[in-house]
Amino acid sequence: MSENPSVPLPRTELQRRYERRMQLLVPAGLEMLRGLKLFAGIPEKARDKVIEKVRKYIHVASFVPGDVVMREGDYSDSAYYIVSGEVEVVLSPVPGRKERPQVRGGAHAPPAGAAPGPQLTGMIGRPETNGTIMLSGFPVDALPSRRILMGADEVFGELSALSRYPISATVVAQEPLSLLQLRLPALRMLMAASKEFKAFLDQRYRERTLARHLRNVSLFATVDEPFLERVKAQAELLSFEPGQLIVSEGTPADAFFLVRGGYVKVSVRTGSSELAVTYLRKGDYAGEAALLLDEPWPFSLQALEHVELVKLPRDTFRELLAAYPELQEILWTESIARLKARGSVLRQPVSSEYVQMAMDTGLIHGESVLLIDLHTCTRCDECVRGCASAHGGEPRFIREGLKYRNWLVPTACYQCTDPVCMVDCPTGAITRQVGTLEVTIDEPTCIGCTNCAKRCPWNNIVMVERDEKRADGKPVEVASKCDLCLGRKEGPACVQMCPQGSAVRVSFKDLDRVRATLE
Amino acid sequence: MPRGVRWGTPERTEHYLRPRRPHLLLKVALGAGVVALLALGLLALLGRRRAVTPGHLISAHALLEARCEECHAPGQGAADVRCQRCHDAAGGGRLTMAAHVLFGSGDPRKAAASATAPCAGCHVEHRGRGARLSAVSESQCVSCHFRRFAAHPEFALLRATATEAPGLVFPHKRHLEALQKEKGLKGDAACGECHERDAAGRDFMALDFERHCASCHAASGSLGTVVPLPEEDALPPSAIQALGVEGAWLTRTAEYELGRGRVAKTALHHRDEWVLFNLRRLRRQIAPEGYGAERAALLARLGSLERRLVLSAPLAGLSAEALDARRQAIGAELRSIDARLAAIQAPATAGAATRVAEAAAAAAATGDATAAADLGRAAAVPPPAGEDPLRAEELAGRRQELLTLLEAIETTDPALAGRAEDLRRRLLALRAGEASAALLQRVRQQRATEALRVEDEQKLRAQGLPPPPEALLAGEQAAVRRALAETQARLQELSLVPAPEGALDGDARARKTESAEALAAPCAKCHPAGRVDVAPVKAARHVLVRSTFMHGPHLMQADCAHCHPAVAGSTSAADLNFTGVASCRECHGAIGASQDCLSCHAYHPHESP
Amino acid sequence: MRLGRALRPKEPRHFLVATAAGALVVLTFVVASWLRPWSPKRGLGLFFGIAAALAFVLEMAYPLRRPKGRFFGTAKAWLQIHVYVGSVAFVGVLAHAGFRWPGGAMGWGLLLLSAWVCGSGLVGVLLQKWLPAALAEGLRVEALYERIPSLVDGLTREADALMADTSEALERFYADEVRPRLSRPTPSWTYLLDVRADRERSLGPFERMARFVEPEEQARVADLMSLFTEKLELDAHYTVQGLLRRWLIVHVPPAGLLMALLVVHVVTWMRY
Repeated sequence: MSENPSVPLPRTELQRRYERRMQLLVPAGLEMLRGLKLFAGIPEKARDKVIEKVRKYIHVASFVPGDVVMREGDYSDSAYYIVSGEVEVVLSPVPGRKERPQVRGGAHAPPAGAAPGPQLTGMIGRPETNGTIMLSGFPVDALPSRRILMGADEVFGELSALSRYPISATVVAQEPLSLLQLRLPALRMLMAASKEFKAFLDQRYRERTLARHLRNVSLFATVDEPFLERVKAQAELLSFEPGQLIVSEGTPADAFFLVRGGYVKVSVRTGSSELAVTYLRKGDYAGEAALLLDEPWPFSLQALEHVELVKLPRDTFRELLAAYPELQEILWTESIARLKARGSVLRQPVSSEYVQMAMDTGLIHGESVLLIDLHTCTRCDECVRGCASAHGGEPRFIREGLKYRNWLVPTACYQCTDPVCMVDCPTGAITRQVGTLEVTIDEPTCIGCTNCAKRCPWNNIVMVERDEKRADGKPVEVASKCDLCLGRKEGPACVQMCPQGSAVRVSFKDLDRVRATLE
Repeated sequence: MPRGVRWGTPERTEHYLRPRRPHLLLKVALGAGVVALLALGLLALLGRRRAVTPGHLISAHALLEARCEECHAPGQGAADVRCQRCHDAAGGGRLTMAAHVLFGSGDPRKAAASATAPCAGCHVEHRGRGARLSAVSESQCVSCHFRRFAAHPEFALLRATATEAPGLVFPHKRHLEALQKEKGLKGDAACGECHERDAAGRDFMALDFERHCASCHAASGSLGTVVPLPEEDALPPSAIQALGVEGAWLTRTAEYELGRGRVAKTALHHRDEWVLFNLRRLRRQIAPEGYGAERAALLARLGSLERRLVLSAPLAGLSAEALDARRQAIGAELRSIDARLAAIQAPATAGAATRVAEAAAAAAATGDATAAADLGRAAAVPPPAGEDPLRAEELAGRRQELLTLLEAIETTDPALAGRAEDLRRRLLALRAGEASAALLQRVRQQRATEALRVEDEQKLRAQGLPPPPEALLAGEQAAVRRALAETQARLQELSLVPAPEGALDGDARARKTESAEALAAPCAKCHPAGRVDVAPVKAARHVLVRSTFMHGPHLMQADCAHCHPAVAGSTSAADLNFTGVASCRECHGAIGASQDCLSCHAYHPHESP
Repeated sequence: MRLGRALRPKEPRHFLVATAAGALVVLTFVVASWLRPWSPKRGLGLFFGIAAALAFVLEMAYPLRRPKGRFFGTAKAWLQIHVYVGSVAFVGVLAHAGFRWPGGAMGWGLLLLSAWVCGSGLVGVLLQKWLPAALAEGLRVEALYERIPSLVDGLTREADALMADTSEALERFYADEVRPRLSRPTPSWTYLLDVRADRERSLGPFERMARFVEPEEQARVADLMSLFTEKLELDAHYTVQGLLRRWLIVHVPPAGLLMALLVVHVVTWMRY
């Protein structure tokens, strides 16, 4: 890249580049698609129908040598299929950098003015760390500065799209490049329609990523390579649609599940209704209780959204325990906690209400959700006023939203664990520091494309006008949202400025603390 | 699908809503405050201070309300000197704590050493028109004295070991028996024959010979007769007239019997002028030092009263030049006193030389060159032996000597009259056992207080505040003038007494003493004779001088004998005849009659010149 | 009951400390005035006066801290300080005056104003405890005060659309009885006592209407009823939140006036 990454580009330039890129993205032609090997696995009769459906979500993107297709650390919702040309995959952890690296939005990855190059970081887990994991979908093993080239008929980026992990490497065009950008709905449809395609993707996951993924789960951290290879060979990769039942309570337990991506609801049956106990996110596992105790499933598992699971059969699990007895302790602790939660929910069904509510409304995504206790809130707007004065006169949230019992959930950004708003940002204005909660929008970089505002399921991002004028005379709009008062010493202004102490920010990762706050 | 009532906000706004500005409310508050400040400031400027007063003044002070500066000296609050401008215009300091202590203990040193209690400490103003400023809570008294009436000690009079001579021969017993026998009066009625209620019914009238005694003792119009005495001892009226004395008693020749060089008086009146005149004359011949002492004391008193009259001309009534002159005079006095004090406190070289040196320094300070020179010469005189302080009786004796000497100096050299006056005053002010430094400090304190008053008056004048009305101020001086008139009258009387021609030898003295006794014989029935004189009557007046006891309210509760049981058997006027605080406690405390200090006592001493 | 719980102090420890402080002030006054006559100008009387004046100045820190948005501690802590210090300061004022009626215009003015300011403050505290809990417990809808007129307009439009093609009886019912009450916010003081006041009476006509119309239209009537319920709840919000906002007018301007009088009082004391 020719420009110096540390000098910010003016907004007009960013806007221009975005528009140019949009022009370079053309919907794929029917003929071209028909001829691709990608669709070879679909039966003849259904092919046209499938192609018709997925066409909306497939673009042809052209790159010149030197263009960055994907940047390490970005969130993406697309996989890329190389039609012609060559790319280089650059995996370059840079130790000793002083600034905190940023995870940025931007699948299209035009150059942006922000700092480059994040680092690989640590564990996902709950509730201890806030770290974001980077799993690699590339045929590498985290060896630094090794040059990897990919050519025609290769696919990359599908792991990030399916499992919503940040991209683990930077992909740079080496030759004039023609790519097919397959967005997430297209991917899913193809996986459902073509068993070959699914097998193809699964194979890549199994070879390249599964081991790393398992390693990053605390359970398998100390397991040695050969064992891990065996586990890899025996693991089954499953996908579930939203609402689909994965496991029913009372059925014999014969598997151990590891969540690859998506949210899974854990519930227990009482009478004729289901009570939500907790939920599982990527990196969590289920089934250890049943297997250890040799009991049927004590819960039901249901997919809340598109869920990808890794399933280990019972025998493999038993072997694991036999080979590594020290793992039992971790498992027992986890099981006991889960069973306790289950018991308390059965005794007090009302306490699962908020879990259900959180799942229904999507609050479980939130790392820091603003809640206002309406019992003590005098509707004085001090929180909004404080937010406004902390942000130059303009507030970043509205005191409107869902009401659950006596709690109001205003439209302040929930600082999601896997922010969907970050996926489509063309300039990388929306970022999150690795290891922190705040998802922030850098105003000079934002060109007002409204992608993030449209993507946020709760409309927590609002477009605001600025005095600057665009080329066509209309005022520039930028996206604005709560940034947890990053840079403010005392923390979020809304919490500090409430005279009644009604405003609290809770993380829905720790359900016990949530219960304590809500009651 | 039924719509249902939604939980939460029905619709969401598209854009952020800027919250309404709360500063409006604060601005209104600020505006209201500023308006109020301006309004009050304007009122204050226009002189309408009533709006900012924390409470109204009593109706008697209502005229002062518009001008805070009349009473409030900046930085001091309601200073005493401002109260004294009207309430102690003559500057006698009657209303200070020192006066209270002096009145109570009789000790000027204790008075001078006492703490000060500001007027505003007990008399709290700004409590509204109807407040009673004189209603001071008794918890103020408690800070120095005791709290409950039960702890009231026996009356000082009853505790005193030595009582002064009553100066009257009066047995209650005989009189009461006589009243019963001759007029048939008993109990309260008998008491009431002489102890008459006054017009207001509050207390008893002062006892008066004409009113209460004459009806029995001078029933015939005369108290008795005087035996014939030699003319040279008892001058006949004509001779007295020749001396220049005037009076109606000299014209009533029918009362006198003249013959063979002897004079007799047939009809004596109470306070017979002829008897008194001749007694005085004889006294001057027999014991001239007594005459001298009396005269000297009267002169001193005259001088001090005159000085008070002059110095205490209400400051508020003086002109600006007079104030200035006064201030400078006081300043000079203060410098002189300071010089004397410095001389005293300087390391003592020799005894009397200190005194003289002190006087020399003072004279130099006041700019009196000749006096300074004189005294400088006197400083060379060696001091007398012995420097112990004098005891009381020695002091009295020495004082008499010096007074006589001073009088002699005055008559010989009238130019020294002023100096002699000054020394006389100082002599009379001396207390036994007191060093002159302490006396000087006391005097200095007085002068300094006065200087303060003069300065304050000048300050107030400068601020344009008018002085209080004349009538208010002049009233203060009335008592002084009365006392002055009295003293002058007595001096006049004394001066009319002719001087003796020469010293007396033993026989002549004995004879004159005899004549004096014969002259006073009829009077001696009731008035015990002093040393060639009629003793002053100290009985028949209020004895509880430090309280205000009104017989009126008590006469309704009990009869005389309840508190004065011993009267029926009393044979001497020296008997006090009452039972003391125990009889008070029967009602005040036991059954709940008032126990407040202020129902009997007053803090400020009575007016007295 | 939730509402009963709502009236308790948020920080019982602070409440106890403040009560103890107030009692201490009164006790000190009783003892000291028995020993010596009490004067507002000297000794303990003066001390209480100065302390109360300084406390009132501290009270101003709470509303004045806002513009910057940065200050020590949380707004909640400052409000606690404001309320408790204010209450104890008022007791201090009474002690300073010697628990007797004042004697002049300034004295009355200060006493009445401080009583009004402190009294209105405590009334405000009660309102702030009672009313939000009543709103949260009794209502489903939640709305911003300034948005209520536009929300009511939105409801009216929705109702108009709902009632677009209906039978004549229903249309007449809607036009005559419902729409006039629907189209504007109608606050009423009865909502202050009960946020669901008159609910049955207001919704009665809908239930009666539901019995009269055809079964197909009953769903519409039910929808209209829930729409109207939302409107009633918005009315309740309008009333209660309006009171919560207007209360400040009763509290703050007199406080400004009080500070002005206090300044005059202090100036006259210092000058004289």
